[in-house]
Amino acid sequence: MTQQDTLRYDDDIVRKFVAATILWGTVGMVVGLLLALQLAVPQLNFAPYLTFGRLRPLHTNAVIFAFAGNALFGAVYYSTQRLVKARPLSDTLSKIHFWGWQLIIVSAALTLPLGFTEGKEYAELEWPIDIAIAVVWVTFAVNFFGMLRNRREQHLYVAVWFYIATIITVAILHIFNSLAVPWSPLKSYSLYAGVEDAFMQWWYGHNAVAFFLTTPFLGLMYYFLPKAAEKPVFSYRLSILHFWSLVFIYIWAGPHHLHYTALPQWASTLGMLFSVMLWMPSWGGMINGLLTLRGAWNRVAADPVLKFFVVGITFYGMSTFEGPMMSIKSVNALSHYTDWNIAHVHGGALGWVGFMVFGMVYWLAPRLYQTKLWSTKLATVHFWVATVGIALYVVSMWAAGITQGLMWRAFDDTGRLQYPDFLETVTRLMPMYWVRALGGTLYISGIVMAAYNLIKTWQTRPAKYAEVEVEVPPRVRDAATAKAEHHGHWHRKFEGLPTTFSVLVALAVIVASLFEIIPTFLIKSNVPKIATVKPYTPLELYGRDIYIREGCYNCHSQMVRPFVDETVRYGLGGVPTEYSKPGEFIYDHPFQWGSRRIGPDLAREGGRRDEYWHLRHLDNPRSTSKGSIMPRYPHLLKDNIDYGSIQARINAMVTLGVPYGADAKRNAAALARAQAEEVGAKLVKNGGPTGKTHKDVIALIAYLQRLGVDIRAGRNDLPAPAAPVEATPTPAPAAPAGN
Amino acid sequence: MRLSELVSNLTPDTYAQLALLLFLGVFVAIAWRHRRLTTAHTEAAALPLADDAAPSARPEVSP
Repeated sequence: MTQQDTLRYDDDIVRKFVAATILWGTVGMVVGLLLALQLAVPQLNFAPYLTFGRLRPLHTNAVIFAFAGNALFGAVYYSTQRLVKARPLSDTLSKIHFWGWQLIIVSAALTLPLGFTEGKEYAELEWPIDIAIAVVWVTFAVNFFGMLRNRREQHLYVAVWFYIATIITVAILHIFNSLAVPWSPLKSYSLYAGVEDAFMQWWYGHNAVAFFLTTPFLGLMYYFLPKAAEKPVFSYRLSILHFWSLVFIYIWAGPHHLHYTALPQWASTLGMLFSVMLWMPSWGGMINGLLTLRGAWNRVAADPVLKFFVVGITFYGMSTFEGPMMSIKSVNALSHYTDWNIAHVHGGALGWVGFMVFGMVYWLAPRLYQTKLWSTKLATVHFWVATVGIALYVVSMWAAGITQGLMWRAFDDTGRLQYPDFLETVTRLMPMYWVRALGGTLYISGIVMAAYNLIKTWQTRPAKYAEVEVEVPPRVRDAATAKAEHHGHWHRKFEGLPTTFSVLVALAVIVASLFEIIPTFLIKSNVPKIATVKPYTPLELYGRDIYIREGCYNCHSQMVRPFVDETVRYGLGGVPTEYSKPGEFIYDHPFQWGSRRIGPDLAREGGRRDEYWHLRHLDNPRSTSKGSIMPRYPHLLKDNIDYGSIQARINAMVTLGVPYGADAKRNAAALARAQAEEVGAKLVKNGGPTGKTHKDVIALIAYLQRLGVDIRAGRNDLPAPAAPVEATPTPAPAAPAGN
Repeated sequence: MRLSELVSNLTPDTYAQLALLLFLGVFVAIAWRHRRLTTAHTEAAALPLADDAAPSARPEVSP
């Protein structure tokens, strides 16, 4: 008879992560509701710290990395211990992992409203926090792989493969996308510029969705769904194909976020092809999940856990159908920059991730707190309220997105834009924004119910938790024994060898990435230089940093796509503009193309309006643009330009290879001061106030007035770049109001 | 020949074709290898259901 060891699971760490999931989920979603209300009632923007531009990254980071992140850590620790019959490598590492991650979340919650951001979506956190994320992630990896090394169950169940893919790929993505040159203790510039930065960012951004919001939750599905249904997964073979197909295909799809931008067409097409291919494994996974409930559907009606899982998996199917569809170029031409994207990401984040998390939490609660769930009825109410909430949210944003997209491209019978004033396309969405806020409120009320239910359950816990002990076989240490246990089959051997398996996963991810990254970076014809494109002046660079600090990219794109409606809409003086070229962005560290147009594109903003219009608009957008939903920025008119910091910014840009002249390298502050005097003088000349010359607003205006000027410099069929358009509250047809 | 020269001389669609072939090859290999592993798959699929050993880990959910 084989001697048995005794193993005690560490459920304390799981309890911690589950509590943090509900806490941060509530916080992140409440911020999201505030953002939804700010779009309907712009007076709810409280400058400078609580404006839409600063809070939106807080919302996305909180929901992705705090809510989903804590949930996936809890799921990994609970399920992996039981699947491999081992405790995490070290309780101390578990604690460092937990508290380190919470510290990162708190740091994000403090720095983002203060305006410390790298200006790249879902990767906004500044360099010290990026380093902390890397350290904590490595701690997690060591703890996890140590657990695998000490395992008693030799076979690695499919859920564990998904966890391995998550840990390896997220590390790769985070490290390479976050490379930056710091110029102050809390500020840095991206190592990449323009097209290359955009490519890296969406390689990261798309795969953060894939490997932070999909693969770990598929692992969760493959473990917790069979547990809740008390049935094994429908097809283990299908789960293997699901896993490898996702790992191979997902990594290629990132460029579909950049269709019709200045990204080379071949990269964009490649991204589209692989996105369409994702349909197959994604739906294979969904079908595998739903068929796991075969013979157990009668229980779904009575069990809120199964209800959450069924709807969560259904949303996985919907989102993974919608995503590839939106990646098709002709669909993307309509959907991109619209609220359709918002519908899609919330279907994924609230429908798929949220429902899977709630299902897991309700299943775990009685097991972790070793008592009955306080109220199954309340959990069922949560399910229905959240389902109605997400349905209202997604449908309203679909309607808003398609409305926006169609209005932007509509021409009338005379061949002119039917809605030349961008504001018309904003105010038309107000009813949908209110329905979205109602849906969000319902969803949030659901998580509040979950929090209450968990607290009440926790209150009835035993005085001391019983240790969960299991008898396990002794640890298998040598490969020969492992080989003997696995019938000599090659994939079974890989499954039993976490190091080899992890290397294969890393290879799949790295090889796929290199196929796109190498040509993008090495083929010079991808980004031909434009002679008239010059680096930003020191004052414009400072203004650009304000643009990034205030999160303007969350509402304004800087990318005129090669569509007639866009070149006409963003043209000047009735002459269509050039669409955006890769060479325009070679000094943009980071790129600011944005992903959404709540306001109009700004790539050709320079010279369209005078300095005084911009000052009034930034002070109170509704004073120049009736119906605008943009926040007010009165602090920009009060805060002084920090000339002392400008040299460090220029020096960092020089380090990055931006060709500044000797003057800028030595006297950046003096150059900035001189340009501020010029802009201040133009402001006064146009009827503006005196005394604003050295305020932040002047730097931001200098930057806005620069946008698109370089690309126009070589054309003689346009008005002179510096010639201001007359400031009027009602814009000319081809020069829509900025809002 | 330097890597940059090699890469520069390939047309971008070559990358797409290579990538698709690579993926297809691995996909077929995995599918082929797993076509007859019923027993192994059944054992593996049962792993999540075999991990609850302690009574305290399986309380009932209230109705």
